Amino acid sequence: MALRTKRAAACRADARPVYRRPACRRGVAALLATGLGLAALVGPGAGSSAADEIPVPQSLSTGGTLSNTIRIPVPAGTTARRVLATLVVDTPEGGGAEDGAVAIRMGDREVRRVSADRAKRRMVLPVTADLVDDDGSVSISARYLPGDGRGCDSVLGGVTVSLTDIVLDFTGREQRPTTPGTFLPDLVNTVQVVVPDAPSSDVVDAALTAVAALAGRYPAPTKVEVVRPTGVEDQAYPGLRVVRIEEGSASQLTSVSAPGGVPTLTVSGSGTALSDAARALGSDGLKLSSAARVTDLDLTEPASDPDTELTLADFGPTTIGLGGWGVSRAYVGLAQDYFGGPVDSMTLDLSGVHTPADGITSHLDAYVNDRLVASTVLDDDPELEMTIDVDRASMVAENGLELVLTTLPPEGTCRLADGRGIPVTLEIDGNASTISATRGTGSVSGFGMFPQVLGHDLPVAMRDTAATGGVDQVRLAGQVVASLQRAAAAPLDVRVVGADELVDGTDSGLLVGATTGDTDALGAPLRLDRMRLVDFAEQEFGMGDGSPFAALQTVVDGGRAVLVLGSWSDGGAGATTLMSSLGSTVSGGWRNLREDLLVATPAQDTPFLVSTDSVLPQDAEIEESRDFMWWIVGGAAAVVLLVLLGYLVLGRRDREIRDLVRAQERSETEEV
Amino acid sequence: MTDVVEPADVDTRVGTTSAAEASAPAAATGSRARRVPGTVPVFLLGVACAAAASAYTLHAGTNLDYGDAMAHLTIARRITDNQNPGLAQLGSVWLPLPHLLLLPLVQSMWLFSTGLAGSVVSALCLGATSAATWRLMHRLGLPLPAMLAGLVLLLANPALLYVSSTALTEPVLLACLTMTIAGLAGWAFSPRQLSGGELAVFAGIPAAAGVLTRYEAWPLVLAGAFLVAVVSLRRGRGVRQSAVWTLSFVVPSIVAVLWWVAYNQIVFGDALEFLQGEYSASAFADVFEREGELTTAGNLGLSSKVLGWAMLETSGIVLLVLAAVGLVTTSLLWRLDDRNLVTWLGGSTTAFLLFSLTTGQHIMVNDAAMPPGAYNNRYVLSALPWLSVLAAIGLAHVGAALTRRRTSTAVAAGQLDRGRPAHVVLLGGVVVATVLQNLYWLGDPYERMTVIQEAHVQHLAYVDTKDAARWLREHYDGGGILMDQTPDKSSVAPVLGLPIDEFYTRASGAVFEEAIADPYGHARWVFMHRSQVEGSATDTGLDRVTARLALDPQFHARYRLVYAVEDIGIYRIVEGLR
Repeated sequence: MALRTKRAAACRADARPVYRRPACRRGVAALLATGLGLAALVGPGAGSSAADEIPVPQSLSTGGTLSNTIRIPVPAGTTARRVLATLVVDTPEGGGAEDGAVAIRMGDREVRRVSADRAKRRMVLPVTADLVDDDGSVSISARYLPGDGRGCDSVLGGVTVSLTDIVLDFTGREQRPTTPGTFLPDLVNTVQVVVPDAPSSDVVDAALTAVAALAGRYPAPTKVEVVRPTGVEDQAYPGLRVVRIEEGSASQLTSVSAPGGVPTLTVSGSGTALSDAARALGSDGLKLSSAARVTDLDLTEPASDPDTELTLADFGPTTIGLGGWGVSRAYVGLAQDYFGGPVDSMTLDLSGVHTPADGITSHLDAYVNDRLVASTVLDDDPELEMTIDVDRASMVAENGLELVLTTLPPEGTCRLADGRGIPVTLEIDGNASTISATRGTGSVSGFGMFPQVLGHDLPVAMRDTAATGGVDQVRLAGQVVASLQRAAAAPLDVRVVGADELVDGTDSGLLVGATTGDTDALGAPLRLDRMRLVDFAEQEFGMGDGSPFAALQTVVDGGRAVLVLGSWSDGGAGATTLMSSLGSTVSGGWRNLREDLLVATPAQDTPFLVSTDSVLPQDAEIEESRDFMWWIVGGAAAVVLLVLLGYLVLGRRDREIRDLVRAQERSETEEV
Repeated sequence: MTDVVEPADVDTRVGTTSAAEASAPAAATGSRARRVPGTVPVFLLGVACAAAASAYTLHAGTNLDYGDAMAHLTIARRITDNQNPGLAQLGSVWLPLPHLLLLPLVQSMWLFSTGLAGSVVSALCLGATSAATWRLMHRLGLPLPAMLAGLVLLLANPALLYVSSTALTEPVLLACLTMTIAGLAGWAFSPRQLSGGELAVFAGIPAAAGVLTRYEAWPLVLAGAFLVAVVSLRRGRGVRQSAVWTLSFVVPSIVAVLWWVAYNQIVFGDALEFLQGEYSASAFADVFEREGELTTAGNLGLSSKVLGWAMLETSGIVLLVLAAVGLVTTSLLWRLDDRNLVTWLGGSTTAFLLFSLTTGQHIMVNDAAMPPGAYNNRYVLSALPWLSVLAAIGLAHVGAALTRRRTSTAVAAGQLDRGRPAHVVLLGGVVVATVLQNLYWLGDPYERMTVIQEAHVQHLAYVDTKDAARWLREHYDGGGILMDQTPDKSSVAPVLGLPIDEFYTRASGAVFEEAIADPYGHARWVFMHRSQVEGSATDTGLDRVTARLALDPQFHARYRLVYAVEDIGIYRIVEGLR
């Protein structure tokens, strides 16, 4: 389970060849689309069947003839009716397989077998009571069954089967939680974190901490957002939860059902205790609480250990198993953030065992970021050791290790009915396999530096936390925090700091609502001032000189990196609303952000990504360079002073010596 | 040369102290003849260094990386090999002398197509630069180790060696600059009063040659005129004699300028075509300004930063530090005497570059620029001889200070000790530092040396066009080629390696327009961009053949695309339809 969820999280970011990781791009896009449309689908008062559906964040993917299983939790108090999913069959040539079938199992029996010739189809899988497990979840798996006719070709062809866009359809009313322990189930649609219109810094700190905790607990497309009291959902729908952050005398969690039946948890307290209580929302220990009201809940996360020596198990899998005829694959995400900071190279030492090849052709290939980095032929020696070096040029923010086992029987046919030979089975020991990294940013830049550059510590600053007109900076900050948390490997320690403190300090962090002065002080590549792009970019994005804009950028200032979100318009007003569209884009996934600049303008429906190299030098930057002329002035003045000094000091001595020589000459002349 | 200063060598004329000081060192150097030992060997050394660099770049295929290098070769060859031959092919974009120097050599197709014609000229120019710098250092009275150090700093510079293997114009400029300054030094420090004619020959003519090479030489003429006037007045020669000498120096340059202006008037109908024409540097600068990229204009600070970075990545930190030492010591010890004035002449081109950048007359781009890039950094090569001389002077002064045995008279005369161990040790240090610096540069030349970086950038930019050109050279079977060689990355005549009169280009004159209007009756082959050039620096950078033919269905019906790479296409007429 850990492998699959990590894999899903890792796949979300990178655009990989479809046949290698078909779940990722389509799954993310579909889930995003589902998430974005969720408000319409499951809005308040929607009594249609759409209101009885909830998207499932997991997806499964399997290569070769292996099977893969996920578990779908059914909301308490409801009855599962159907599972809807998109079945994708992919081959290197594109499209479906030439022959063979896909078997789908739910529970302990096969529920559907379809031909594998179609690349994509929407499946509707009825769920009966016998398919629901004792823990109230439904397990689902898929497996490719090659046809008898083509032999190894169909297997070697690397057929990949995926189930994506999974939605659970159920009936009944979700059982209302009554205790903090049951407030956050395994499957949640939306969590709204409510802050008052004029919150104190303690409340904002706690709200953003809650957002981080909840975003870490629930992957996309579960929406985790900050809202003001007027933005709270007033009618319940499946998977909706509301968390209110309030100042009180002591830290306590109270489970309350608000009017309209919207499950609401109120977290109240004061000072750091309020944030500590909010952080507990991300803890599994919350389930242990059976009381309706919990006091003095104190969860202070231990400081993450920024180690550069980890095991493969630290990234998820305790064991990686490969086997069967043909091609089988396994993927492990190796995000830099696991190391508690940026790293610029890694060495992987994989250790495992395999069954003897015994006349069978079998080799294990290792790919890092889609590049073949190692390959070994399996023989009769069961020990497997493989060392892989990932250099600076190959490193990205979220690296991926793919192991591909290819096994051919002696006669070259893969027909299972023949029963010839026993295919090789291989297991990589996650605890014995190590990954050593070297600190450094390498060639990773821009948005890719996050979140690993934070070291799991995220100071957040906002110029205005009140719910003033135009844009809600706390909400925006929440969107960025949630997105960063979902890209992180460990919980982020979110803390609110003053804007000037962050700008003038030395910590990496996030600044929302930046001003022109902030960008000047930080030496940002894009100043919040009149901006022009180079001609081709200007034409592509319809942005001319003087256009209002909002921008999210990465600023590298000394040894730190700061995310800066701000806006500008000629006349000083009118661009703040553009910042909201930046938040929506960021919510779509941090790994979707390329380059180092995300810009929103009135001319574009959606924000666009661009490099700050495409921004023409701005007046503020050029003006700063003007000071360099004092070096020239100073140098010229120094030369003049040296000349004068020479005249004053050395010139006088030269004159004295010359006078002495003349006197000698005169005396010699007189003697003559 | 003698080490001991005779009392008679000390100028005891009654007059201003500055006049006495100014003249005393000249007499005290002891260099009493025009002949300077070592001139020929140093000249040959310079030629040999450039020849070795040329052998390397020819083997590596990098001597034609700069588009300008190919353009200079092409302009020279077009004077004779063209459908419209004549001196009008010199154009107005660049000053004419480098092309005239290339003219006899490019008559050989082999020397033209390999770029070796430019290598020969540049090698000779580097020899001349080395010899002139050597003579200048000698006139300044530097000890031998210091002179050798200056020579090492000059000839061991990879950027200069690379440029000296190409057909770029900087080597010609350096030769003219250094020969001018050496000539002025010979006049200023000669114990015998030289005539105005001698001044005109040994300094005025090199200056005029520089005036016809690059515009950076023009301020040198002004600075040199100032020097001549000051020196002659200091000698008490009177205003009239000073004016005669000054005119003797500047008249050749004035003649050169007048010739150039007249040429522009006759050929283009506008005496200032070179300044304001559509192909002029100011036209290019206007485009950069319009697109918001001419950020150095009006900004002395940024201009200084960009120029300084170019000098750092071209001259190197070792040379800059040693030159700074020389600047300090000359300011303290030589102050405003003739030696310092002569030395400062070498800085006139750098001052002009800074002025030109600040006034927006041209653009220079490197890592310090906004936006960053690599463009026109080789201009700062003109500072190399000046910095090398300053460094040598600094070493001489430091060596003298470290040397214990000096006579007080020698100190009074400002004479520099020669052949002392301290100078030798310092020379050794310079050699070691230069080697280490070069090793650093060669560790990553594309990042650490802006001149090489720009060459590499252009190499990559020209890959497709050069591939197409080589293909055409191999498959051309006569019949004429219609090709606009003016757009960016299209001037590849040396790589084409075909007689230029086979081409219909803008340089062909009116027949080019005829050929565009009726390609079928003129050219069997057409070489053009399949889609119009975008991002051109000026409107003159558009491909006129593309503009006329790319969307013409008749053309595509009667010509067959026989080769394509990226957006470049080579077409051959369908026989029978012509």
